[in-house]
Amino acid sequence: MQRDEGRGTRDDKNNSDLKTHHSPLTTHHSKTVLTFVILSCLLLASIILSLSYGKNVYVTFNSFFADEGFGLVLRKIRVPRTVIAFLVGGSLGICGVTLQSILRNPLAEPYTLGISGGASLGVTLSTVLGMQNYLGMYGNPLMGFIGAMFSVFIVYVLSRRKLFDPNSMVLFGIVVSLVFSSFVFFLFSILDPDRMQITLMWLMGDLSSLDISLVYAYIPMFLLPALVLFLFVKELDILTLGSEKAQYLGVDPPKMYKVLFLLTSILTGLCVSASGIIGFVGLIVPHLLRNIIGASHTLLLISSYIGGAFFLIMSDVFSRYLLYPVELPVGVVTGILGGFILLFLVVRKT
Amino acid sequence: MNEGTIFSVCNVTFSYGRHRVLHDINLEVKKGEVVGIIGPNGAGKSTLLKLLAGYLIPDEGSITFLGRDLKDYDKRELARHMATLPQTLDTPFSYNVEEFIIMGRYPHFHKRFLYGDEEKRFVVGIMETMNMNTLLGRQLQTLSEGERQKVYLAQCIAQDPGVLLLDEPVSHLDIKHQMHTLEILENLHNEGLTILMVLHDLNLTSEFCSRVVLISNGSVYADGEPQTTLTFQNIEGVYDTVVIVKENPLSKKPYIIPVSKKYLKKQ
Repeated sequence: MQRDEGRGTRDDKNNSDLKTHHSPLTTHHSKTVLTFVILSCLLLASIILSLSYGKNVYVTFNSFFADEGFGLVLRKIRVPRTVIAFLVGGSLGICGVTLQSILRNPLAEPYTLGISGGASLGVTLSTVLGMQNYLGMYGNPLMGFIGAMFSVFIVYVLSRRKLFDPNSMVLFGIVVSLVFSSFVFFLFSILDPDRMQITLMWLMGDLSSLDISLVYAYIPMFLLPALVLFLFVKELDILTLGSEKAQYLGVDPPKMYKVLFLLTSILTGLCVSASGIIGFVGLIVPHLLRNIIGASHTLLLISSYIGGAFFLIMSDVFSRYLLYPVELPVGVVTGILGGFILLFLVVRKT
Repeated sequence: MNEGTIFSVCNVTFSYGRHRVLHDINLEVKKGEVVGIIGPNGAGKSTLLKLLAGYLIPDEGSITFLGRDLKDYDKRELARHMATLPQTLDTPFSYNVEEFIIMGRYPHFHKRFLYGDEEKRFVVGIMETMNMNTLLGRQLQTLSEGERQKVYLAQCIAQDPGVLLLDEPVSHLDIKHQMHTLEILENLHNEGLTILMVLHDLNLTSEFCSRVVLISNGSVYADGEPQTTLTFQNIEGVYDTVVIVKENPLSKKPYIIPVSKKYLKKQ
């Protein structure tokens, strides 16, 4: 008798739980929307700031279609510069998330698998061989991309023998990067420093030197691999549990590692070719967002794109503003900003 | 081939490099069995489980699962029939409980971005039957070991499998959580699931398994009901430890008491 009563109350409790069950899922949903709205507003604000800094917003919009003066500056310089900062920042953000997740290491970043070394060597060689004389403005971007893809190719060939085991991939990436960087330092040490000035600027990350026609050609090249990457959000969630468990849940880890490695490599290669080596964006943005919105990639990946774009556009504004009229390389700004943010996060945690 | 056969392991041999871990394993698992795989550390229990789960591929011999060679299964297809819980499972990132459990729906769900409402209800239903409503919305990292183990198990159940493979599912749990976890498994078994698990605790094995496979030095030492396999001769032969085997007064299953050497010297 007593027992029956006890069961009765428990069933009642279960029923009431059933009614309230939707609440955690819906609060999660509204938090998602909120995060999204805030990030988008920040991004929009940074874009407006990047286009209009020094002038007020009203003047900026009015002179957008003007044939001369500020209108020309806007269309020929500020818009392409903002576009490329958006694409590079967003791509570095999602590449950072992807690599951290497949390597299961919160400190991984887009350059962990050796791309920066190859790209640096490509651009340094471009200067050494005087590629600008033949290819003009395409020289550095093209050689940077070729260098990046060369290092990717080496890591790919080595990793294939290890079935794209994440730990081996990190090792190969570090080795390739170190070897190529040593070549770069070697070239720097034997060549005329004045000639290397431009290369050095580029290596520190630079958004200012890209030609407008190249920027518009970059748009589809950047967006396509990014969109493909978004198809794998569920697989990314599962891969963070390690390759053994991922296989038990129905993912084919070696195949997924290969696809994701190639996609992030192409994207990072494009970033490096467009703007040099911009550090910290791909490390700090995913790190910060994981703390705020959690690890589920459905939201994390798109947020990291928006967050990365915001971070780089803002850094670019600072780089123009801080020592006006002198422009800092944007990589220096992201490095300093990102370093302090990361330090703050780590200190706060402990 | 018999209708009710789940696994048919035939002369399987496996080595890590030069080190041979398993040799000439023969095993047939029928639908609805609860098989406890026991044996000393390093005997090859976990390796056997990984072979059955399709993570490792035998060097020699064959493993047939539901009438087809295990190697021929697509990973996703296999995950619809079989769920496996490895010995260690962790992630450096913070998922909440629902996000974690819903990953178990992956092999059934083909849309690319979001899981649907139906999948979410499925997860809530599982949490309800496992009596873990209080964990809704919690972050995985904030849970205790026992609660986390239940979430891992819930993820396996979300796969809606016919076969469950578990590697030491209760090893670092207190007796309350051990009992609770094993009772959940018993309920699943009553619903028709076939369960294979590696266990260390001989008494829990005796209580909850319908069949015990005793592995020693990479081969099957004994195989059968707890009453016939968990004899003091078998246990002393395999573990090199003196034991007393009694009968559990409630379940009438064997109850094993290890004997410390200091008592042996006295007699």
